[in-house]
Amino acid sequence: MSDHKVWPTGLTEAESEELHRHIIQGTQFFGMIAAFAHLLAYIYSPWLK
Amino acid sequence: MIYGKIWLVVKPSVGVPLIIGAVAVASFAVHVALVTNTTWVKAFLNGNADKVAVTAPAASK
Repeated sequence: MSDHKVWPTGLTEAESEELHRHIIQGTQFFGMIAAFAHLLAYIYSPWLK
Repeated sequence: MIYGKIWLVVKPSVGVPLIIGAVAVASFAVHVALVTNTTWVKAFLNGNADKVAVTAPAASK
């Protein structure tokens, strides 16, 4: 019942949770690529040396 | 999931671009600060500038 309530943003709780899962997943994907890029920069550039 | 209900009170069309924009601006600012406050980034992007400077006089002898 409460799951079908539409909030002011136009989303239900289930939709909000689903969107948030995708945002977290995207953040993790971005973070891993960024970490890898920083590892490469640390290895191959004079950064921190 | 923790904070999963935030999109019930924050419009995704506002919140998502706000977060992505904040990350982009912060990241860009850090990298601009690196380029403007250090000397090694420019030297590194120029390639083997130091090696050329060292070998050029030696080759002319």
